[in-house]
Formats: sequence, structure tokens, C-alpha cells
Amino acid sequence: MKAKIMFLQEVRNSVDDFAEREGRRPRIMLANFGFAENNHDITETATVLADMGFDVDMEPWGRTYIDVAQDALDNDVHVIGINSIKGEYKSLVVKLLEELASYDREDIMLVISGHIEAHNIKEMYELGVSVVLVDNCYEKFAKGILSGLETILF
Amino acid sequence: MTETYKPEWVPEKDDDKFACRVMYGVKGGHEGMPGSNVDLSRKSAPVIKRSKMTVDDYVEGIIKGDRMTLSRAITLIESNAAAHFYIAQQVIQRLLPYTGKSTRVGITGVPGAGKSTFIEALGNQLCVEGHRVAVLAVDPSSTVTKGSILGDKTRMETLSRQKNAFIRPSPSGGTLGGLTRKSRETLLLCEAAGYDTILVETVGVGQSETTVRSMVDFFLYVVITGAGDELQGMKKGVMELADAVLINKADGDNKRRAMVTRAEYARILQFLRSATEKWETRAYTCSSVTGAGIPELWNEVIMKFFSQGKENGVLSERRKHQTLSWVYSMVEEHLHNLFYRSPSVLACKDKIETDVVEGKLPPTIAVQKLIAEYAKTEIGDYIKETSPFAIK
Repeated sequence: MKAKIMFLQEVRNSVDDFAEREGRRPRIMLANFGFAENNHDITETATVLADMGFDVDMEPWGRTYIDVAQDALDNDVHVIGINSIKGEYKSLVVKLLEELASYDREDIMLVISGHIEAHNIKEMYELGVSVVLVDNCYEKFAKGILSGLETILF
Repeated sequence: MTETYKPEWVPEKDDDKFACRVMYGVKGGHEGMPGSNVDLSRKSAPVIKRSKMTVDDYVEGIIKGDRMTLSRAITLIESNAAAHFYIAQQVIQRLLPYTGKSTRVGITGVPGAGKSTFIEALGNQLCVEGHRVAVLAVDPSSTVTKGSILGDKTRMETLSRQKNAFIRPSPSGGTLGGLTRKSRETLLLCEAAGYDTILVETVGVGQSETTVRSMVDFFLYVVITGAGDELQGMKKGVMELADAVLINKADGDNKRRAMVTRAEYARILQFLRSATEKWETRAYTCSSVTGAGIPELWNEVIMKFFSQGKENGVLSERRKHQTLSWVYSMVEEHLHNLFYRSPSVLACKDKIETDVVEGKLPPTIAVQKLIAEYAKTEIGDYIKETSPFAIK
């Protein structure tokens, strides 16, 4: 599906504003829990976010939550985007949050950047996910991330 | 029974004669439909503030070899914010005595030459031998949107799982020359954290990725078969700076062609002046997929380079020169910051800019005016923040 971007410039401006204060661009790592090397969803999300001015870290496919947490710490990202082809997020979210908590790095935001069934979204928020990509609306997604980071960092 | 209604196209006067009826559509709540009645507002994710770290935290953590502190320190060093600059300088200053003991290898090549895959193969081998390996991988930032896609780690699947390996991808942030503005400082931090082998991977662009030469001991140029003729190698640029040329992807059907390419490069290299004194730059082949040629390259070429370089003093001489060039690149950066953050320049910058755009002021005069304004700058707090060394 073609991504819907209507207020690209507006988002870019707020990303620039964030980068000015933080000293670097918002950095998101897209974790690929699927089992396909060329996951089209991830490619799309990565390019759209990079176009909005994010620094996007790509991960090898088929990672475990332990690898993903370690990579997120090594790269010192602001946000981890979870992407799973089958849409099974619950256990990943719980495990990843536990893993981050064990390093005392709960300030790293967890977002869902892959396809998710609408009736699961509420549950994700309850588990501790900060933003969910709904209806491929990337502006809302990016704005959600930025406002989340605003409270965490400043 | 399900609710139905008559379609609106039914002619009014023939109302009763039409038996056609239409069912109502689904009213939201259906997955994937806009206007679904699922509550999408953010509910409970608790906000946990990022912890603040002091200079002492950074220094102690890095000397202990703590990965997380190292990664946060790299973020601090790379930061463009004025507030981070001062504390970053202090961290570097206090860590300098712990640096300088590692093997620094720079790796460059055209996009798709297999630099990351080569590092994956080499790094794994070094980890098995008991080395601690740090990889600094740089990918380009967009010049249009300033964003970036950092994909080097996708090629380093097993290496990134190694306990002894630390891989840090960084966006180039618009700096030319194939590295980030702060690659040298990042390298020093990794050394202080106890990594004994540092592999620096540049942006894959090609002919001018030469900045890395000024911060590594050994410079490896990775090429592939079928990439231009002799003339490409004769041009001034990367080739004359390399300590070894490596023809990658020498496996399967490509092996024979790789051997031919090696012979071609070997022929060009005889005519070039070698980059390091008393060292002959040669061409080698390897395969990052099968691993063939990589142990030989490391043990017989790179290690020989280092033992020979330490013996005849070429390496220590090189590092002295590099320190000097670091001094001047820092001076340039400080001057840049001092000018662009000077309050008196900032005060008149907008007006001068509009005047130039509207054609009222010639660009050369604008430069004069800006410099004159800069000369008026009072030494204030801004200097302490932007350039701690400039305090009089």
C-alpha cells in the first residue's frame, strides 16, 4: 500500500526542531522479528521515516528479543519499532520490555511499526507500547513518537 | 432479520414494483476500517525519564569497559548540541591516557563491494582468537531530508551477537570524506573501553573517502571485479593511500575473474608510490562468504605490517602526524562554532541575509560585515559552552 503522507514538511520541521535541542536526529531501530529477509513493510517504514528526517537502524531478520535489546543499547537508539509479519506482538512486547528493564533502560520507547489487527491495539497500549502505526498513517506515527520523546528526554 | 433499505436509484413512481433491497454496510469496529470504534488513545505506557550522566559516570564506566556507557558516550560525542560539547570535551580529555593501544584498521570501497560482509567474516575470526573488536560503521545521511538508513548491522548478523564485539553504526551527518564529524573521538572512546582492534568502515562511495586515512594505521581498499579499467586505479584518490587492495567475492564462478582483476591491480600498483614508507602495497583476493583468504590477509599481511611498522618506527611517526592533523581539524571546528554561535553575529545575521537575497548587499560586502560583527563579539558564556579552550 502506498504510504499516506500529507503533512511531510510539517513533520520534518518538528523533527528538525527536536534534532536542534537533542543534538542528534530521533533514532529508531526497526526490529525484524519476521522470517523473511526482504520484508516489504520494513522497507517502506524505513524509507518513509528517513524521509521525515529520522535516523533509521535496520536489523538483520529473525532476531530474538535478547539480540534486539542488546543492539538497541549498542546503537543507543531512542525508539525500537517492532515488526512481526504474523502480527503476534504480545509476547515480544512483554519480553522486550523486561529485557530493557533489566538493563535499567526503560527510557527506550517501544512502538509497533508493522501490521497489527485493530482489536489488538488497545492491549498493546496497556502492555506498555507507546505508539502504534494505525492505517499506515505515518504523520500521526511520527508525531506520536516525537511527543513521547519530548516527555522522556526534556 | 437484517435491516435492509431500498436503493436510492429506484424511480419514485414505480416504488412498489421493485423488489430490489440492499443491506446496510458494516458500521465500524471492523478491523482495518477507518472510523473503527477501537479506542486508540494512549493509555498506560509509563513515562520513564532518561537518566542523566556526569563526566565521572562516563569516564568510570568506559574504563570499566561497560558497553552501555560506551554507547551513550559515543552519542554524547556525536551530539551537535552546545550543551553537550563542553562535557564531551572533558570526557575525551580524561580518557586520552587510556588510548592509543589498539590496532586501527580503516576499510573503504565502492557501495556493494562487500565491506560489511568482509568485516563480519574478519571480526568473527578475531573474536574467536580472543580479540576484542569494535566496529565503527558509517552510512550516509540524506542531503535533502537529513535522515539516514543505517544498514551495516544487517550484514553483521553473527558478529553483532559476539560478546567481544561492539558494533556502532553512525550517520555521516552531511560530513564529506566518508566518516562522521566525530569518528576519531569515537575511535578513542572504544580504545579506552578496552577494545584492542578497531575496524572503521566508511560510507561506500568511492574515490574520495580519504579522511579515514588520517586516523587509522592500516588502510584497506576493498574492490570487486568488473569495476572499470586501469585508468580508474591510476587516478589520484583512494588507491594511492591504500596499504592493501583486496578483491572481494573471489568465490564460485567469480574466482577466475577475481584473479584476473588482481593481476590488473598488481600491475597498476607497481607504478604508484606506496602509502606507507618501507611497505609495498599489493593486491589480494578473498571471499567473505567462504572465508577463504581472510586469515592469510590478517596474519600474513596486516600483522606483518604492524610488526614491521613498530620495528622501524613508521607507525609511531604516523600517529604523531595524525595527532597534529587532529589538532588542526579541531581548531577549524572551534572556529566554525565560535563564529556561528556568536551572539553579535546571530543578532545581525537575519538582516544581512535578507539584504543579500533582495540584492541590496553584494555577497562580498556581506562577508566583510559579518566578520566585522564577529570581531566585536565579547568573550562571554557562549565561549565557555562552545569552545572551552578559548577562554582567555
